[in-house]
Amino acid sequence: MQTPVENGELIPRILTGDAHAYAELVHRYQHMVYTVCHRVLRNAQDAEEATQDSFVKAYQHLAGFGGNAKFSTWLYSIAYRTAISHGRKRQLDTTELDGLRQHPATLDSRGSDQSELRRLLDDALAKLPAEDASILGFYHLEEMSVEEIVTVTGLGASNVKVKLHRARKKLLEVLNAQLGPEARNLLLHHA
Amino acid sequence: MPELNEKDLDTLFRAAGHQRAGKDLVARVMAQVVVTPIHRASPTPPLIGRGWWVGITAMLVLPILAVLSADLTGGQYMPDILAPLAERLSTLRLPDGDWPMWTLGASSVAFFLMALDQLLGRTLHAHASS
Repeated sequence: MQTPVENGELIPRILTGDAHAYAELVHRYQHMVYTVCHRVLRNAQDAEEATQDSFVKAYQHLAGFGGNAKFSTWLYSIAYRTAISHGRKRQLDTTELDGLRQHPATLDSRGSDQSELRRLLDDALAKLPAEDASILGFYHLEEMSVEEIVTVTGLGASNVKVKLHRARKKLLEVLNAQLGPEARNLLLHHA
Repeated sequence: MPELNEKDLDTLFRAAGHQRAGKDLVARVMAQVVVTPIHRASPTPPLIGRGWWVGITAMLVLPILAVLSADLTGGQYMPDILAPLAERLSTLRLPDGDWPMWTLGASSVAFFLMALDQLLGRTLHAHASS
């Protein structure tokens, strides 16, 4: 990932009409924004659409980015809200999704690469409410502070802390229940 | 074998990494971006200009200063600018009864703010309909 200084150089160029500079930003953040949207929507197609919308919205409102927060926090905030809005529009049927996500919770030596690890984590996160799964992602993957999560989600600080604590506990319960000792050992070995 | 704990979550999340977006995402975004204008906030003139605010402040502050100067100096010293105002104020008579001066002052300010609110409301309405 690039440093904020480099983002700071790209943004004025974009604002003066250099669209290629924006392509660089999209390229840089595409997977992160997609992950945020996927945690909320839990569906690849919807997450792709929400990611695309998020980048277009970010471009439209780039002049309003004051640089008070990190660019990534600002962008995640747009992505998170866009994904929530997409979810509401689609009236997400969680029952159907639960049914779709009944993968066997195993981890064997053949499929133990990063994508397998990701699938396993996603399956466990799918057992949590989307908001909790997103908060866990912000904290453990994006390494955001509670204050940054507050900015992105619009929740209160104490609410974020409580949700983070409960979600972490629940995720550990799910992972420990889903995985046998051998799989846990393998998972930690690969992690 | 110990169970996974909170420290392991950090490791697990980072090792799993980000989801992978579709390969043509950048191209699709850029196809939309090139036909999308950047919203730039156009400066809107304030409902009440700076001159008005200076006038309003003077209207509120000068009577107070006039009364204070008159009270503190017993009328001995009065800046020229305040003298006519103090003279006019001295002709004011409180209504019969026990009316502290501040009650009248507060009522006047409330009346003034109400009038200001009405003015702003009308200006906003005019802006909205234009």
